[in-house]
Amino acid sequence: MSNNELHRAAYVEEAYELLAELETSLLELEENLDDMEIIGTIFRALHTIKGSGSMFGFDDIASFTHDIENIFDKVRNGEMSVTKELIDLTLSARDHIKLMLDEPESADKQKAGEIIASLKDLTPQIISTNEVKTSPAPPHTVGNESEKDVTYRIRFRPPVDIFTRGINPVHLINELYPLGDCRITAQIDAIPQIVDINPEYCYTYWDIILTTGQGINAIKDVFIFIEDDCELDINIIDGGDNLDKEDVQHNLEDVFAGQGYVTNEDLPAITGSHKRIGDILLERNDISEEDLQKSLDVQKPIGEILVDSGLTDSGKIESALAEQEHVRNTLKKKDKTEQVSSSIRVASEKLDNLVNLVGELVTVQARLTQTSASRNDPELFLIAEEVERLTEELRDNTMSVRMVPIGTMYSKFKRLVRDLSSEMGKEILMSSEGADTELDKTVIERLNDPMVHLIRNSIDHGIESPDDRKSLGKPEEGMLNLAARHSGAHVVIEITDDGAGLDPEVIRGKAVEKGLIDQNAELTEKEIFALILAPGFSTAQKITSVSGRGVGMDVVKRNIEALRGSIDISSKKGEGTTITLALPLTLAIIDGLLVKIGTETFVVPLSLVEECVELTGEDISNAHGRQIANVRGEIVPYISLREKFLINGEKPDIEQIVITRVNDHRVGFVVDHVIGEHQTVIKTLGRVYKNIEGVSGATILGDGSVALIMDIPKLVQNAVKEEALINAK
Amino acid sequence: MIDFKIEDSGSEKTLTINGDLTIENATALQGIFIRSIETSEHLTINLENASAVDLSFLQLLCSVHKTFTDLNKSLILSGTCQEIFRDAVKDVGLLRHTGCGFECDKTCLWTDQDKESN
Repeated sequence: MSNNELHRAAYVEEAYELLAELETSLLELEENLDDMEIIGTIFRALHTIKGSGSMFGFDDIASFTHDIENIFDKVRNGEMSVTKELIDLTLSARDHIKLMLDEPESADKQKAGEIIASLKDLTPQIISTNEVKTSPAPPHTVGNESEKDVTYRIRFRPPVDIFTRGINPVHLINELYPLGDCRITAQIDAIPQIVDINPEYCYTYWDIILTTGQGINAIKDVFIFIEDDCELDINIIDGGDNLDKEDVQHNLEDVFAGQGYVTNEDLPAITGSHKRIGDILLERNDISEEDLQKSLDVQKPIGEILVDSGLTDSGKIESALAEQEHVRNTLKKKDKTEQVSSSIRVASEKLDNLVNLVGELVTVQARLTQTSASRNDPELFLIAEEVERLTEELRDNTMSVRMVPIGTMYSKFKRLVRDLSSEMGKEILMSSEGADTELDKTVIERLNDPMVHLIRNSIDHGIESPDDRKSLGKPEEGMLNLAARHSGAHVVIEITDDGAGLDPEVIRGKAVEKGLIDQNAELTEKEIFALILAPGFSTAQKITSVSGRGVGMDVVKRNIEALRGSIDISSKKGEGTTITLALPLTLAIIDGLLVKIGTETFVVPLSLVEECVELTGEDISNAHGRQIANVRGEIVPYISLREKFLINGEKPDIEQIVITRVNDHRVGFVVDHVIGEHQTVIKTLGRVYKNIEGVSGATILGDGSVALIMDIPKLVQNAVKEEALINAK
Repeated sequence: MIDFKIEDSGSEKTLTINGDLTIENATALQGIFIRSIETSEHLTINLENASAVDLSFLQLLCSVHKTFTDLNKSLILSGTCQEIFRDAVKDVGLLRHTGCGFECDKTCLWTDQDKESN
């Protein structure tokens, strides 16, 4: 991939992130139309999409975004107010930009024109693209009062051939404006005479003073595409917050010795908070100390003296003056503290590789532990123990790097709810809880489709129209709540609506009609609700574009189960429905319980295991042929894995029942021996074995042998089905 | 596309340039400026009909101004500069309160641009 292609790919990636941020901010703005901070965020997102777009040859996107940016500039400057129409149109514009990124060839120019025209209708005074000046946005004030703001001095000298690379350095520099309060001075002393100049070279360089709370990385990001080829010096100007105690002490003594008292007016002299022009130029190596001393002997402003004597250029003085004034103003506003962001962007493939390597390490570590146990060597045992501890820590740390807050999904769903409810003429307010709850990024990615389907169902079948709600004595505005929380090794996500709820009788009738259950089957309410997850089940009276084809809920269930998760439905007719998804925190490495049947070893996900009890021959005969055990007075059904997996050989006199909890029911699995806990690196079984039910994957044990990971919910489900068939016969 | 004309009024000449004063036309613009140096003692540049201005052009202006000053000739911009020009100067960060070190007649092209734009 060429450099240019790399840059374009990086732009696309960044643009997607900005579009997601834009969407979230617009939806937030809809709830708080006057929030200047959100308006600032929207403006900055648009500004960056436009600026970077034009820099990397996405001229259509840049031009389209430019007009929208102008509108938000007006909003930001108080010349225009935010309305629902503006938000609607900006969301459409956002979708159009996404389309321009996804499939540039299918992005309809006419549609773009319509959006812009509609936006212009909202602001008749808006200037057209060609007329609009490309001047930078005025320094934004949002967040300028933050105590975390830091003032930076930046010198940026682009490569001379920057124009020929298709990059306009001015666009780059203007990207700094949205970051905070910014003063830019172009230095032109390197521009040669007209006969010597190469008109396609860039001789200009820049001194920039920027106060921002966004950290040094945000500044570096602006120059990221040419950082290897340009000169970029970024320094924090101390501006009084990094005072040298000795200097202050010394200055204080001087002032006191001179006048015998200290007043407020003496503070700058004591703290040295305002650097003098000479100091700034010295610090930048623009003049020598000797030059400064000579000039100080003459009683004229130092800048004037230095320019007059030809020791430096007016551009340098201009820039130093800008810095002095900027720092002075900043100091007046606040005491600033240094805050440098320390986050970096890493390609997700690298993380996947890291997880794979940690997986391999876990396997080798298990082998080491096993070997050390068999050698009876205390030293080796200690080392193995230490390696085990470190591996576990490394595993947890690596996993935490892959964790993504579920809130990243919420904003997408907020848009979905907004669009669907408006399409269906319903009024729905979406609320969310636990946005900070983290899940493995793969789980988040694969969770998207099932969640979209569940939300669609809630809106289509669950929440009633405003008129119906009114007649039922409910508020016209329906409620949809998404909540996430940790629960042991799982994350539980609840989708709750206050709609019509499920009618057990209707579901039952439909299930009988479809032959899913027997007319006389005795089912609990929960079991009846679970029927809607069966393939081909749909109670919708009519099929809409949103849902109702009956192909969704079984797919949802399958997808959730493929994530080793479970789905539970509770509902009250007329009051609403809650769908609860329980998902594992990660898909890569789990804690398992190693069990043995004959010579075969299996892994039971530890998160499902509640306890292990013995099963004797006496217990079996007491059950009179039924596979149930009496555990402290409680009857627990069990499945014999030896029978299930057709494993030959003698079973021990005393077997073990591993009792798990699946869908709120306790179910036992009979094995020969329970070996103990095992960090299980999950390996997929490959295409050949993908249809085998009851096994969700495999893992490699310390001795190199393979153990199958049991799909407990599937085993239970199959057992229930088999029993139903037997009963039916 | 650009087009230009040089009008003669005694010792003073006015160079009017129309069109996109951008990188695409930078080489042509350099040629125009070199020719104007050879033929003018006092040159006024009129950019009233410029349709676009970018950094490459501003560099050329600065460069030709340096050369004029070195040759003890004078170069000024006509007072009716377009907003598009002033915006470009502001965008680039060229606004100045004091002129260049090499020029002593205070004719720096960038010192008054902010006043005009306000």
